[in-house]
Amino acid sequence: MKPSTGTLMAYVDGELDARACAEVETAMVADPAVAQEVEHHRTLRHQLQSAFGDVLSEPVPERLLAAARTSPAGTQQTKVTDLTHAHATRGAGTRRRWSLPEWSAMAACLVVGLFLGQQLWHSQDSGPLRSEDGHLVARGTLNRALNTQLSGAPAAGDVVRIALSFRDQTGQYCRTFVMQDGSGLAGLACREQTSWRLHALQQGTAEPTGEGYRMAAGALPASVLHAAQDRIEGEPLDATAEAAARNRGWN
Amino acid sequence: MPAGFVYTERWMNQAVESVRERIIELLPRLRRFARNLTRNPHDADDLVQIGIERALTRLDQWRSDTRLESWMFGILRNAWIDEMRSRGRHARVFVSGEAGEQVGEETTTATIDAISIQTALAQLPEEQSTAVSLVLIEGLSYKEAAEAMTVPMGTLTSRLARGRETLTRLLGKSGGN
Repeated sequence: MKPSTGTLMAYVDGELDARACAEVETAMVADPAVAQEVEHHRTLRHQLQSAFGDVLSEPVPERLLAAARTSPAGTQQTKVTDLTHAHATRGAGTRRRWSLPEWSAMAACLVVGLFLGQQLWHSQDSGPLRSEDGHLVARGTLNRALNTQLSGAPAAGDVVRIALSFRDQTGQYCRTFVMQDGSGLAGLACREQTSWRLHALQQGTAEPTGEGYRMAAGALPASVLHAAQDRIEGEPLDATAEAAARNRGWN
Repeated sequence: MPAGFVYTERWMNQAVESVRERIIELLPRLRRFARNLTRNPHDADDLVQIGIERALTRLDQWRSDTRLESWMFGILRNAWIDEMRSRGRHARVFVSGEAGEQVGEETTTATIDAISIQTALAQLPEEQSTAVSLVLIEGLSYKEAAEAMTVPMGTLTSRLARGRETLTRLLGKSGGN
């Protein structure tokens, strides 16, 4: 049942669909060696991105900006420049530009802050979370999904993917989820009488790309996974046990 | 249909202008990818310049279902392969020596880490380091990276897997991991 190395790499690379994601996540919770391997691939990815990130904040040479602005465009065959020619025309332009990746990185920080801030400060508004007795609990569509949706591939139109369900050491039901609404919010919620209390929450595993942020196919972030591993008693619920728990109202 | 023609031409001009703007936005990433290809900042910027010129003159070859960056990464790589062929193999050996010189006195862990990762990536065969660069650093999907390298998906994923294995081995050895 252990997923292949290729599958685990594909999981980290955001290449798996929701069903395959759920299978990997189940295997990660069941087998620490799988979780460790995923963590290794994720770490390598982050190491590479930070090791090669410096150039993104360097000023772009003026000659490259000029080439983008004024090089002839069209479909006609033109003389192909070689490197020697490029060398000859290399200028010393150092004009500073507010380049997109920098801006994106800043936006990512703001999104996290803004999102959680909105949830806490405007709890009357719609949104997936509200504050109750000093704890975050699920509300709205997230609450409904935790109550009714089974884990695995979300149906068309579902804005939440439930990754897996299990019982914790106290016998409570817990479920991990990933919002599919673009917020990238993922978390672990456990049943507390009539509500779902959040025990882990993370703003997804977004990575900067030229098109803003490509979510790693809604993969469960490591912090949420670790929280699940800490709480789980035994194995994750299979489909039958999960449906039975749902029909009993998770009590 | 003169009116239609004028409209089309204006539309084309607007489309070209918007591509120019998008290329400008992409420049930092094109420079990063080019540095990983060439392992030399000067060659990298020369390569980006060539890539921009080629992309603009070949806009008719850009398929609308391909992201601009995927297409341009492919152009850069092809241009670099052409360049390497014309220079011969000695260039690569020289570049590796130069990269080694960059290991300076800075002793922060982050710097040592970064250098060892850069050195490790530079030791991979080009087809593996490009796969790693496109997917793990630039964040392209497997499909996009395979298209940029003009290979089937299976070839891309096996290059990626081998690249990861080698990097892990190299980083483990140097203590960079």
